[in-house]
Amino acid sequence: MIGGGRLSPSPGRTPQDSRSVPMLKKTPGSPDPHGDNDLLAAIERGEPISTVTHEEALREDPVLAIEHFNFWYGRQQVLTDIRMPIPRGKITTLIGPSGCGKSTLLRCVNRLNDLADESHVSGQMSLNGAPLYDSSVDVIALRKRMGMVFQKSNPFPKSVYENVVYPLRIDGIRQRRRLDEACESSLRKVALWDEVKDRLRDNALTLSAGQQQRLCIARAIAAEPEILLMDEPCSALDPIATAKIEDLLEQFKGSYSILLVTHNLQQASRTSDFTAFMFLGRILEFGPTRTIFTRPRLAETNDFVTGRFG
Amino acid sequence: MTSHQETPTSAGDEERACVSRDAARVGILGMPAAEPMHWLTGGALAMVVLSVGGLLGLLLVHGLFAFWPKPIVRLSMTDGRAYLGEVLSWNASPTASARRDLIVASRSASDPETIGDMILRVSNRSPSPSSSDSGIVRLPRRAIASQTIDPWAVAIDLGGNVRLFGTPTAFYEQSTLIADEPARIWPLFETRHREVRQQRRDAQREKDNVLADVDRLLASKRRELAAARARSQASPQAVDDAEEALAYARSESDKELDRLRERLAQVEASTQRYRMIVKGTDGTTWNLALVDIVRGSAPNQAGFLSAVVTSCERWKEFLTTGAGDSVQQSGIYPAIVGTLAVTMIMTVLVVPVGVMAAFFLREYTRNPTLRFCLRITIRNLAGIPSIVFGVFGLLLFCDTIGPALDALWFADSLPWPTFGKGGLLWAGCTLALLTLPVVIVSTEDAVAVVPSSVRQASYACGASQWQTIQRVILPYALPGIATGTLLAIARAAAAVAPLMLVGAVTMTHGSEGNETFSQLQLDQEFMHLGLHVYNLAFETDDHWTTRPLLYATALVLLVIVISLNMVAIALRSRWRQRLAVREL
Repeated sequence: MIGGGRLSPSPGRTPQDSRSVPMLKKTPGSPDPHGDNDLLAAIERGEPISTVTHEEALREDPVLAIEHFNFWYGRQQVLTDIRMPIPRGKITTLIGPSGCGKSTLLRCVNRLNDLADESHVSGQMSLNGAPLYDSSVDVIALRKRMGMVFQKSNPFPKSVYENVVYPLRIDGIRQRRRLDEACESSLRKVALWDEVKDRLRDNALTLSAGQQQRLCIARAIAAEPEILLMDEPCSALDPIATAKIEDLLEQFKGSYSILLVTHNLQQASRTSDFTAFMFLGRILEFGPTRTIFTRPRLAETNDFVTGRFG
Repeated sequence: MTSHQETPTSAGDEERACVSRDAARVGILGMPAAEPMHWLTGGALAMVVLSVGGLLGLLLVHGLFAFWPKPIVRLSMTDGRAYLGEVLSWNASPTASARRDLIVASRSASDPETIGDMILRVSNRSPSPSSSDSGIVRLPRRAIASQTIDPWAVAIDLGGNVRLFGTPTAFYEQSTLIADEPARIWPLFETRHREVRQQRRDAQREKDNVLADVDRLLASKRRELAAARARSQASPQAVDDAEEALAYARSESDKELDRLRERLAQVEASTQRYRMIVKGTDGTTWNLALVDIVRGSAPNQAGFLSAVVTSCERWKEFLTTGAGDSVQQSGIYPAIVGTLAVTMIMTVLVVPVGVMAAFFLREYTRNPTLRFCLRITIRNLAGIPSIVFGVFGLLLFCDTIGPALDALWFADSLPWPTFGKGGLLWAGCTLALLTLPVVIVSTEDAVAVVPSSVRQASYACGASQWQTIQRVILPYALPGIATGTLLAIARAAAAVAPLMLVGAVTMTHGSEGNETFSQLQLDQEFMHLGLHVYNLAFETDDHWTTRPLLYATALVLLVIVISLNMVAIALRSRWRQRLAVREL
């Protein structure tokens, strides 16, 4: 369905995404058999398109508003005209083929992409009404308002306790009582407390992979973030550990606003309230998960969620 | 065969086949046959092990036995002369001139046994340590008529490199003859000698204490007087009082000193009461007060155990005493202290600076060109010969910064320089410069392998760059920092040449050489074990007596460097353990 063989130098390819298995199977040079996919062809030509946003998504109270957001690595435009409101207290997933810019968008929210050389942006995002991309914004303070969970669990080589309270420590909090409370409540929220309560002084690297990832989630929520960013949190885990994390996501509904990137369509349909379909740095369709997976308005979205893409 | 393998009965067959296959691979000496490269690489490793083991073993044996008592022999020469002394070498190769004579002579007598020389240390009475009377004699083996080992030959050290060899013949208390046979004299000598030496040491300590007390008292009175004079307008009476107090203190002190002098004279008289007569060769006799004898030994009497004890005592003395009259005479205590101090100063300076610089290079520099240039510069710095760093340190610290500091803070002691000369601090600084690249490079390498995911996790938690460095990257870099410190210490221990330029000296003259760490001053010149080894090796012409000291000093240097390295290695493995769990 992808027109031509011109996808290879994918503009949205980020270093993180290039590691995962490409979902798009296509024969180079094969012509578009149907010739009816004008939208994808238009995107490949770089023409502006408008996102199909369902009214249900617009009716929600947005915690994070992304408006006309563009992002470049050097001269390469990775994100184009992203417009979407992230609903408060809901789980929003980003789906799409590898290299479409899902992770990049996520990293733009907490401005981790600032660390990369030669990146620049245009447009605006605002978290609870406060702009994220003003020159006056303190990036450090900004990141403290968000939590992030990465694809590969990345605990620090410190004790379990110190890992969880790390965001509080760097905030300069020293009171033992507050740290203890934060540690216990975060670990309880990720259902890790009973497993590690006797091992709080042990090195976090001694935990199992699934426990490490839940520890990273505990760390991400320790400082009560306004939004939780999750970048394929289960892709490196076995099915049991994955199920535990999906259970957590279920519990988090209502109390946390979550922006989740996933490659796993079942996971997206199981856990999330809203789903956005991304392709080549653009959001094609954004709406309630049930609608996106059952009656999407775009044929391209339908092809992707049913696995007929390509 | 394949069909057989499916059936259970052929299990034995298969096993046999395996055995024979294994047997085919057994090579020489029953060891498994291996590729040629296996042998080659193994051989290279064996050579490394041999050379390291050889170095350590040889140095250990020679160093540990440096103070082993040597036998005393009595030699009668064919020309009638007799010698009594310590054997330093039983068969040394003759000197060049003697060799020329031998070539002529060897036509007649060509017994290889008689070609060599015997090196003997005999009595030397002159206290000056110049080579002419060091007591070393070289005797051609051909000219030796007879050689006996006198069981009661003793060696008597009188201090100042004077050593007498002879046989004790009489022992007196006051003027009463107590013993007149060596077998009875020697045990008496050993107990009485210890006794009187202890008395003299006690007296010396008492004298030091009393003098210090008197000094302190008078100084305080003098200060009070000065203070009273300063306030003389307000209270003229106080000046008079203070003057009176000082005068009183003076008279009291004089009385105290008189009493001290009296006591010391008594002690001296009492320590002088034992005397021993020692008879040397050629009828020379020495009438020696026991208290003047530094050390007496009867090596020919010594069994293995007492030889060990003597050896240990000499080692202890070697390690704990300071400067003597010459390099050979002095102990190495100040050199040990100096080496440790300069290494410590270096470490304290180089580790923080090097680590910070490495963090800047890795974490803060965004400009790749700048980073590249800096890195090239630093790596080049590592290749500069250490003597050049010595010259640089001399120029920068001793000749530029030092005089400036002197002018600023120590102007009252000029023209005598305080920091405007070589000293402990400048030597530490020079070594720190010398080892800086090592620390930077190894820290940088350690920081380079910190997983970027961990770094991002820290940033995502809202940590600033410094917080990330301090809390996340530093723990990862610690093993690398330990490696850098280890290499720095090793490089610093190897660098003797620059130290000679910036403050290491052959001999420091502290109070009896008993410098301790608390007495160390940053501006003071110091001794260094490396330099001491150099001096023992090249700056003395008394080859035969310094060689054992050379081995012993080198051994001590080696032990210090290895122990410092062990500390670094232990720390490193502990820090590594914390990170290594991830690999499980």
